[in-house]
Amino acid sequence: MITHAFHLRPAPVMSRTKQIQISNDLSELERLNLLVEEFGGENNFKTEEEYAIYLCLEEMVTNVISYAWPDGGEHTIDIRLAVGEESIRVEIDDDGVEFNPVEFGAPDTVAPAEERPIGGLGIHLVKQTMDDMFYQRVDNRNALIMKKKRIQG
Amino acid sequence: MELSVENLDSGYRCVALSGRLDLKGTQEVDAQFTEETGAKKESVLVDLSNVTYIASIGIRMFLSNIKQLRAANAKMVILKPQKMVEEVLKLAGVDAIIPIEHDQAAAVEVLKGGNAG
Repeated sequence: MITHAFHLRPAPVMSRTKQIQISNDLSELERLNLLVEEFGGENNFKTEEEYAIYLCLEEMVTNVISYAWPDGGEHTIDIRLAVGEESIRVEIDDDGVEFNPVEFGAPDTVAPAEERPIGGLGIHLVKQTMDDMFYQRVDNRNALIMKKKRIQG
Repeated sequence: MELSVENLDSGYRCVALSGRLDLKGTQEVDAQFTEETGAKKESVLVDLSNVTYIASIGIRMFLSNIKQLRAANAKMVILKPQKMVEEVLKLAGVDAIIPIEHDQAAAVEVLKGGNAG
């Protein structure tokens, strides 16, 4: 659950990283899943940690692929995973249209089924399952950083 | 993603899903799931004990089918979700619309009791 604003601070030294570049095609999610599976195995992710990393990548990358390039065409998305003693960090970087998910409002999860709007649910779930989310627009690129605290014990 | 249907002694049907309800898994099973739940317009149990993951696309599949069922005054109960799947269903507020039970007999009682909704 994100309960406070994320302040810009130097990234802690991460002991392990993995990165991948994917194209803006939803079939690429499969390759991304394999990367998370491998990374999670190497770093002994707990079920809850691995679930949160799968979820944040699937939801956010699906949004980027679906909405970042209204004119279509071939584009790439850079994804970096890093793990340290205290947290797991996920970075998604693309040159699509500006979109700040941190400021995106929460969907109605209380209304009757018939009245619920479609959309926004994925971002809501990511905000609830990750501990931090930070967005920056730099050089006409979207840079999204999400963190999940390591579960101790 | 796999789907199987069992006819229970109580007269209700239990639709069991198995696999990951991510984008790919949901697309694989969506049409068949709708055929076996929403389109039948009968109260139904949905066994999630073998579903290891659900993302927003999978949740939307449940919401669109419960809408069809409620319009026909029928119910759905989710049975035995794994811990993280249940947590995500609750974060999405699904449990307010589709009751979650961990015991089949209790789930059947929910289907039997009262009016839908």
